[in-house]
This record gives sequence, structure tokens and C-alpha cells, in this order.
Amino acid sequence: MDRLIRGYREFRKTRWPEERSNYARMAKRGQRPEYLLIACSDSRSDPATVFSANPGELFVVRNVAAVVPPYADDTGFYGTRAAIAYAVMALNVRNVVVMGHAQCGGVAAAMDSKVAESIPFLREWVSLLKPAVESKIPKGHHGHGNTDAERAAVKLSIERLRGYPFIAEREKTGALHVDGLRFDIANGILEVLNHETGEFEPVERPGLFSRWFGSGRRAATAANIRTAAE
Amino acid sequence: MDRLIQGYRAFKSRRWPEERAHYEELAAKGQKPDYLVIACSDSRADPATIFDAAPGELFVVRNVAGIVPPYETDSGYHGTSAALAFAVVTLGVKQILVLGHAQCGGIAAAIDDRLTEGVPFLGNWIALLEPVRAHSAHVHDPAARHVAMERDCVKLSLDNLMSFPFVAERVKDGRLRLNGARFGIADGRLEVLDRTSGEFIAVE
Repeated sequence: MDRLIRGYREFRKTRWPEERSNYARMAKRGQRPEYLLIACSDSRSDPATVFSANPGELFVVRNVAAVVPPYADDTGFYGTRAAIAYAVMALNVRNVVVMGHAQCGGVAAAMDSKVAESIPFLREWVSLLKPAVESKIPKGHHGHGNTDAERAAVKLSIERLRGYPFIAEREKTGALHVDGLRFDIANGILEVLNHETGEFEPVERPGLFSRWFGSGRRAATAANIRTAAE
Repeated sequence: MDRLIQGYRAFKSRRWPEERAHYEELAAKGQKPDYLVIACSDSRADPATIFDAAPGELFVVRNVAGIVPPYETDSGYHGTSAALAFAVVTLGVKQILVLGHAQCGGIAAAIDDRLTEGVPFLGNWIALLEPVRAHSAHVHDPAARHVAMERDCVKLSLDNLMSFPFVAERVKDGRLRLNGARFGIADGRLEVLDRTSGEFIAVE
């Protein structure tokens, strides 16, 4: 526990004083996150880190490979589905985002049955990714096969989310948005799923132009300018 | 997505330059975290924030109430158990921390059935907390019961962890240690379970 206690003391010293009133308010009023983030348990792809999130912003589900199980399934426990239902129906999040990442061990296990062979529960869990990986040919651990499969896994999870009636309903009325991302650990690039083309597109670097005029797709906002100014 | 993209840009301009070499190394060598943290999905109880964690340090499972289900040998889809097995057997983590927190909505749902009505799957999941609910049935003050159940939930998950043979074996021979803690959102206090006394002690 030493490392964790040391980290907690650092949190108390640096972050807590800044966030104190935010935590106090959230303790009283309850949480009101706008995002449900479904991400992998991998230690290298932490959503709060990658999105510089403040306490209260992200309701987070993390499991191996950020898998969303199909809505209709009677086997096993209900951890991920219960969290999705709670976030959407009880907390009324406005966005559901699935975040995959590079070098995902879960996707690798789905592609190569030897990886999960002797690991209890893992083989069954990653078998949920079968429809995403079966067309992808493994080309070694970090080959293109894996990258494609990681992207396909995110798309599969999104497809399954749309099979949850309470999500489909809210998406139709515009009350909820569903999005997909993939984080590349080696170069820090975040790719966003373009729903129209089905392709993943990297978020461009905050260069000179985007710093002052937004991303090009949208106008500069006060928040952008504030970020740029900092 | 705007808020996320904006946050990502902040990450790329501040944190990434500091951690770049570290991320590159983690990508090349693979992850080797010392800790598995099992925590609640609650937006106010983020482990990486509370423990000021660097990339690569914490393998994290998050579900409603931070529950570890008991070991089951059926062939169903067990997300939390699969992540536990991957962390312990494949990655060889040295410690598991179960992290509960104050004002937990999952605990509230275990106390009041009306909160799970109309929310699919939640009742099935929260049913795992039945022993916790029964254990505090005699506590009449609602706030005191809520806190007692948050702490008991951590203890239940720790007990359930020991029902997994690959966990019990490693705990017995000293390769793996289990710990429990609870984060108080309002006061930012972390209390750690003393396994001998069964009490939660605030970190000074």
C-alpha cells in the first residue's frame, strides 16, 4: 500500500485544495456526469488521465478490452450492463463513449486462443469479441491485424450499445450520443470514429491554427481559447 | 465529445511531454502494473486521481459499487472475474486494492429496492450485496447504515476474492496482498481497512 498512500498524500497536497469545493458540492448534490466512458482495464490507457478529467465528469466502466456484452444474454453476471443502465437511466448521461487502445491484451487474447487458454474466465469474456476479430488475420503481436481488430472491437461495442432499447430510444431523440475512440499508447494519438465513413481519424495536434480557431470543424469556443491561453 | 477532445488536447500539451518516454517504454515492453484496483464507476471516486497515479501503475476494474463477485465455475460471461484473472495470472500484480467510497449509489440501491426498479440488470448485480444488506439490518440510523454498508461491501469483495483459487494460492505464499479502503468524497479522506481489527482507519 505504500505507493498508494504516498500518491494519496500527493493528491491531498496538490489536487484536493483545488478541487475541495467541487468535491464538497458533489457530495451534497450527488454526481451529475455528462459522460459514461467504457474503457479497458489496461494501466496505460486511463481515461481520467487522457482526458484531463475533473472529479465528477466521467462515470467509468473498465473491463478487459472495453467489451459491451449484448443486451439479451442470460448468462453470467451483469456488471457492465448494470453500470450502463445505471449511467443512462439513473444518471442521465448525455454521452456514451467506448475507448479502445493499442497493444490491447484482451484483443490479442481474442485473436489468439493460446493467450487465454490457461486463464480462468478470460477466454469466455474475450469470446464476446469474436465477431470483431474473426476477419482479422493476426500478424504478430503488434501487427496491423491487431490495430484493425482493436478498432473493430470498438465498433462492435457501439453496435451492441445501440441494441440496448434505452440507448436506441435516447439516441433517436438526440438526448444521447454514442461515440468511439482508440488511444495509441506509443505515440499518444487519439483516434475518433467517424460514424459516416466508419473510419477512425486522429485528433489533430493543437497547432497554431486550431489553437486560435478551433478544430476546423467547429468555431473556437471560450473554453478553447482559455485552454490555449494557459 | 467536445469536452473530451479539449481535455485530450490539454493532456497532449501538458502531461504527454512529461510522460512521453514512459508511454513509449510501456508500449514497447508491455504493461507491468503492481496494483489491481477494483473501484466503483462513480465519477467522484477516480483511483488514478485519488492515488496520483502515473500511466502503467494501476490496472483498474470499475463497476457499480466496486463489487467482486464470488468465484463461479459456470461458463457465463464474467467481466470482473476475467479482469481479475488477467491481472493476477497473466500480469502478476502484487497487490489488489478494493476501493469503496461515500455516497455510493450502488449501496443506496441495495438498501432501497425502488432505486433498481425500471433499471435493467441493476437489481441482478446489486443482489450480490445481499449479505451486506442483511449484516447491517439492525442499524436504524440511515446515514450510519449507509456508511456501514459501504465498508461491509469492501469486506465482502475481499472475502469473495479469496474464493478464487488463483488468488488464495498467491495470498498464502506471499506473492499477493489484498487491501481495502474507502474514500470520503465530502472530506477527501481515505480510510484503510485494518485486516486484524476489521476497522477502517483514516490515513493521517
